[in-house]
Amino acid sequence: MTVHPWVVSVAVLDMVGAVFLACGTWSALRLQAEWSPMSASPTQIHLEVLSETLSIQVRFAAGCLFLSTFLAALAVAWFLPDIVPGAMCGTGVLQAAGPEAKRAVAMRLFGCTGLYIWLVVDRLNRSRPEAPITVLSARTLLAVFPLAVLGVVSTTTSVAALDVQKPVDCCAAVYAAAGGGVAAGWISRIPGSVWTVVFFIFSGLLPALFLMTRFARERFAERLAVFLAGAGLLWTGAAAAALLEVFAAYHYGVLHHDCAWCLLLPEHRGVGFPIYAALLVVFAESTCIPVLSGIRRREPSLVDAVGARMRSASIRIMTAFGLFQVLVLVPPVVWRIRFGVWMG
Amino acid sequence: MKKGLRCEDMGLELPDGRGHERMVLRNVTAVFPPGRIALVAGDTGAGKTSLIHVLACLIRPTQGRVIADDRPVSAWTSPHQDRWRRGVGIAFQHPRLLERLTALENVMLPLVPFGGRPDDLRQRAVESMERLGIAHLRSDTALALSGGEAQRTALARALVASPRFVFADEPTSHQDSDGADLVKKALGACRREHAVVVVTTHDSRLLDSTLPDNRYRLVSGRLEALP
Amino acid sequence: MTAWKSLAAWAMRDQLRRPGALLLTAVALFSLVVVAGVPMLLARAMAATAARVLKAGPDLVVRRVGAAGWMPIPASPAVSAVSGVPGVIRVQARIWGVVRCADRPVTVMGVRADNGRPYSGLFVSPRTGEAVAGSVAAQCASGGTLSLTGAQSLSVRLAATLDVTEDVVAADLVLLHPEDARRLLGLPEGSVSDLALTVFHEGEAQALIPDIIEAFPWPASVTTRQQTVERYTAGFAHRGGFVALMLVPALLALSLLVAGAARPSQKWESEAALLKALGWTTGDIVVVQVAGGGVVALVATGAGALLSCLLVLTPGIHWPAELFFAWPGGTPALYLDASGAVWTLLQVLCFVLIPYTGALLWPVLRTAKTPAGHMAGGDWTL
Repeated sequence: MTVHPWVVSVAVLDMVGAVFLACGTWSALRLQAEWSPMSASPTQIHLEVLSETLSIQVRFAAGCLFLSTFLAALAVAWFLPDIVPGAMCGTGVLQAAGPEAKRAVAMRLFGCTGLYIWLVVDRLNRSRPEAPITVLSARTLLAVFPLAVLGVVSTTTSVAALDVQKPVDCCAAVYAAAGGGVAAGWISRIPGSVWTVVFFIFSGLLPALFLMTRFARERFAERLAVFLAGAGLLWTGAAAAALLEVFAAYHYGVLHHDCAWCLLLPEHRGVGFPIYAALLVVFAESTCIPVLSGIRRREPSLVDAVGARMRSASIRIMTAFGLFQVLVLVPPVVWRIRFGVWMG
Repeated sequence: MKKGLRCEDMGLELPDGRGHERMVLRNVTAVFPPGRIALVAGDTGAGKTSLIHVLACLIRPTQGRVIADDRPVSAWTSPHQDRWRRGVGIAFQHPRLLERLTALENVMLPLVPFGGRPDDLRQRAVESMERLGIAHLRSDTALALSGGEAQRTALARALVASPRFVFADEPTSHQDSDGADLVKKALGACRREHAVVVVTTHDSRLLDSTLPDNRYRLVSGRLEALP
Repeated sequence: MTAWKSLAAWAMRDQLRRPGALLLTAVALFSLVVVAGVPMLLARAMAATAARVLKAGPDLVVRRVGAAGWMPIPASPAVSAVSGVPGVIRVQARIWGVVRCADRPVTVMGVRADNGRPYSGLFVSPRTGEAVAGSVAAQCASGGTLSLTGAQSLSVRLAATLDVTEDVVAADLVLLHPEDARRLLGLPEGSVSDLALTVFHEGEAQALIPDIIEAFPWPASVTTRQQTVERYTAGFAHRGGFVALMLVPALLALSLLVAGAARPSQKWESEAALLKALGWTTGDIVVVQVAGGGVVALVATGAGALLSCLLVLTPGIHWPAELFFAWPGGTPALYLDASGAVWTLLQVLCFVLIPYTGALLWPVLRTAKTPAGHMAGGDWTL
């Protein structure tokens, strides 16, 4: 266990967020059990106001958890390598924190995506005076709560396990795994050229589907948007793999270095932050679209609001997609122009 | 789109304090058009205050609905009703001023959520107080006001945001004749601004005046139109 | 002006109605930020200063290890052995160790004119019987003489003191003539404590370690400059972190006080119901309550952060380092880059402001749950 100011800051934010989230979830439990629309009973009136305070509570909790996730990423990438012997980037810090750390990263990402989906559902619900999907919103929160709490718990566990005495291999492990090693897993075993092809296929598909959703009739547009979401999810995976296996090398200026955390380092101008943010936006918005589609079929009063939100989701997907393409594809092009060859 | 306020087969049951429900309003059906003042008379306990509370969406009817400008506001959830009430001015039977604030600040309260520069809000509040002849009391705390002054301050607060719907519950009960005239003038001005105005009273100075355009009587929870 | 601005203006007016409570909250937050900010900034500034000073030090340090721990290194064979390692461009045999001076431990180092720069800025070469000391080590001199006790005892004249800018790594340092130092430390003739190496490319330092270890006939331990910097950084970060951790109970107490002082009451619930009847939403009520407290908090924490920076970075202010880190004697002149200060202050703000906002929000949300229909009830009190 290490006591570092960043660790304490993240822990305090997590604690505040978790407390507010737990209270909101307790209210959600009541809402989904007792919600009775149109009833004039004092209980229903109380629940209606409760749903509003729940929304404020959970939005505050989500803000705390998003901020703590960002600060945790910043700390792992920039500050904690200073105290872990041998660590040059976040990979070394995660090694020092043990296997729980990778689980914490995954749980945090899923927790944050879940909270984002709840924020979308809640906003839609509040947009109509009848609050027609209050129960769905409450159930979404009940489903998201364990994910978010697991993220907090596994972060705490991995911080407790962080060993700042034992030297780590850091990116050397990544080098060792390059070309089919164990540490990098199955992604490295598939040749980079395959990932590049898959990435470019989906990179072509995504704008095509987007244009089709813009110009298609409304009844087809919704289906196309779901396809766009599916393609977006697949693109996220392919883009992440292609980034690490192929394109990251152009940022590092070396032939092969597939460390995900080095992209966040100040030496590389923290370019990983906008790149990963773009991936996250595509992932989160692509996850939202099927949920929105389900709401649209189920709740006629929300058809217009959901339609507008789906359109804005597809625009956000394309904006993030564009940002990713610029940040990831411009360096190879510049490299090719300067040196006349591709890397690798 | 039908403008104004409508009640459709509206009923209200409230607990009577002995573990039973009491029917306070029964099958109330009425239309309160904009630019007209509706006066609701009735004996004590007839349900006048409950009617005002239901029309202002402070209480949800147990039967039927209230429709404001073609929108079923009584079916809305409380948070949206709160927002809708920005277009509503309510003068309660008791003034219900915040004692820690001055009269002027009390009158400013409905303007704050609209935004605007503090000076503009203050100016509008002073104008509203001037209409009711209480501008000189602006710096007095609510505690220092007499019953009649407090009631006119509450009416100034109800009218300050030029609301679309005005509900006044016994607005002249603590007024002398000058005060009552000022109240009548202020309500008349709302009519000119095309607001929907519903006033409950058993004060003969209002009942016998030329102020109301429509008259109703509440008898045992039933609303009857008077000629 | 948008609605939230007028709500915030109303909130400020509300706050000014309770100047006593306002002042107490501001003072509590201000103190908390100063108490949290000073040690964190100090830790950061000390780590940055140490890293800056150490940058001028050797790339690698070689020590001989044996069953009993550190062992003296035979200077000439060791220097010629390591000089043959490709990439090593300069070798400096160093004599140093820890001895006692009066009642405190000091670090003794033997330097001569040709290798008298153990760290940047130290252009000194004491003669036999003379010493140059860091500011803390110099305090144990009596009548201009330093009495040092190691393997043997030695009294030397204090010829000069080191510059205060080096204090972060050299406060307890005493520089002696190599022969004096060797005698004091009990090192055999021709032996040194360690070897300081300069390599051709700093990035290769780590990769050279196996070759260097191979070059000696005895077991050796090699430390890179990066590791030394990391050790300093980690040490200071842990100190800052511990102070931050110790403040958590204080923060919790403040949050509970804030939440407790604003606990829901019948009167407050009635007020919330009235406001809702007048067209305020729950969000408006929350904004007024949180903005009121938030503005006070921002001003107090801003002032606290400013004072923290002044206390840490103003030359001549000693007591914060003495208080929080038990830094002996005068505080070293500290260096802190802008981004370092910004990150540290961001930590402090997260650490203090978010829980405080949570504490403000908690009772407000409980009260704001009162529906406007509360106005229609018989229990209305104001």
